[in-house]
Amino acid sequence: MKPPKKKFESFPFCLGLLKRQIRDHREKMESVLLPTLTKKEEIDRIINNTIDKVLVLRFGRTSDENCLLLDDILEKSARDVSKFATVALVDVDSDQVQVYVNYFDITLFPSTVFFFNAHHMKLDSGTADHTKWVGKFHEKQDFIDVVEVIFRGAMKGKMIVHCPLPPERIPKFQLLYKDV
Amino acid sequence: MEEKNTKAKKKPSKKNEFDFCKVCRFHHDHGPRHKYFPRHKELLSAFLNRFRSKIADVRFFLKNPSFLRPQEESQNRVWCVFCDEDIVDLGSSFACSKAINHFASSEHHKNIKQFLWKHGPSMDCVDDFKISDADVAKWVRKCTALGNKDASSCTGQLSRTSSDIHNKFEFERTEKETHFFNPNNLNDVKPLLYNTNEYQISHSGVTHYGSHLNVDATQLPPGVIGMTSNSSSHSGDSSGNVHSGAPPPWLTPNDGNIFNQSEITRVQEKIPVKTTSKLNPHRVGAAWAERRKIEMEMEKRGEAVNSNTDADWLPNFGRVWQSGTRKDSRKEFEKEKRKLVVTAESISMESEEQKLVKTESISVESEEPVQIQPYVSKRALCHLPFVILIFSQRAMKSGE
Repeated sequence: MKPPKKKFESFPFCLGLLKRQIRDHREKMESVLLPTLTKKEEIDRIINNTIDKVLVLRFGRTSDENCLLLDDILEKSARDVSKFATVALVDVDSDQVQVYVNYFDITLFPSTVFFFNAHHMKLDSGTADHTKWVGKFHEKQDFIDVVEVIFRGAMKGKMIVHCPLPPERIPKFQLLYKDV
Repeated sequence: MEEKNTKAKKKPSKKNEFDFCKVCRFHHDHGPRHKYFPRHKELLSAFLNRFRSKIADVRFFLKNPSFLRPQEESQNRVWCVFCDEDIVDLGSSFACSKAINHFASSEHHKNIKQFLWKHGPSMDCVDDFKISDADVAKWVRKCTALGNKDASSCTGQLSRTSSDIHNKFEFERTEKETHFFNPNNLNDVKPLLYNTNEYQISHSGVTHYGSHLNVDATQLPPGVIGMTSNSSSHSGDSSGNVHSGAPPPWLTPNDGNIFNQSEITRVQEKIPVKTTSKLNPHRVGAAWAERRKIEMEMEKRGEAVNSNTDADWLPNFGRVWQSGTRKDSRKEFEKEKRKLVVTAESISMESEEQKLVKTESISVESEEPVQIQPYVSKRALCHLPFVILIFSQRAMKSGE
């Protein structure tokens, strides 16, 4: 006959599970803190008030699947990059934001634009468009690496930086000039 | 076989123990050949030049002996780098007397030779760092002559200061001071190495000591003789001083005092706040960031700031299909926007069929034939097959 199982044999496993749940809950609470901008004044304010930090503006809509995946990564990594970057979401369906959608030539969603001290930062990722990041990130670390490279380049005075990610992790797209 | 013999002949290099080089200030295992290294030679010349300047100061006093005031005794000190000891002129009546005696001593000569043998490649400069006996003898003669001349004037000065002290502290000492200074305790009191401050003097019972100042000045402990007439001049004007327990002048309410707290705040407000940061001044948007920080601080303080962000403000953005600077691309966008507004107004007045004009007006700007070339980045060149595939697909589409 087998001896009865001790109660605390499964205790470490339960503790690990509990810790994971607490961490997920905490991340969910923190994900609420990413600001969603719907007006031009709000975008102007955040650009003007972000000093010596990279400003990450995600242009997209919550109904898009790729946008949701990107938002998930942004929300989870916002805290990790909080010392050198600020992340904000912009809803492209708002009327007041259309001027920025046209100005930034945003045609594909989601698109992420980077600023540093109110100056636009370009990112050469091998795609046709260096002015923004189109699509989602493969994982959290990719986003953190990109933001870090932008920050390092900006601190050195460079307005265009090379993307550190391998080509297979960079979303491919085609830019069409007036449907050509 | 011959190779083995040559290899055996080569003695293995001796591994020297680590030794500290006083000149280079680091540990090394180079052994005695370290002193021939060029870096060591440079540092040695700088090291010896520094000590030469100190000896030059001492030689000045050798040629021009002067009395050493007791309050300057602790300041008159020299570190001898060859003997590794500090030479302080304590209890000496002439400036640099102990230093002169040290530099003339045989032990110092021996240490110089040892130092130069260990660190220096040449022994030529031994004489630069020592004082000859003849010079010392001359100096002694000058000192005695000087001492005889000024003996009477010196004692007169001391008695005057002693009487001043005696009179001063008899009036200013409060009844709280009960400590009685017994001259028999002189032997128990150890000589002070440094100048005492006024606090120490007040508690050492100097007032009662005033009556015992017939003793020769050289026998008195140095700390007590540190009192000069300077101290009397400071406290004579104000109503109280440290000894009497009066508050310091910067804490008393005074009309002439510029350090009132209200005035301090007023002065601080007038000073423009300069944000000094350790960030790279050549970073992107550094000038803008500094200006913006100052504006934000002014806004915090409640001052009105001329805000540049009006409704039409746009950041500088390098657009995708425009060439030229970012300012140019912004101006172009603003032109497009104005034209859009004009055409939108014209559309509202005309019928629905004229809506096509809007799209045509945009295309009118780019009437110039644009040579469309496919964009190929450096990364894409590495992935040529992928690029070729895209082109083939495009060609197929255009063919269809």
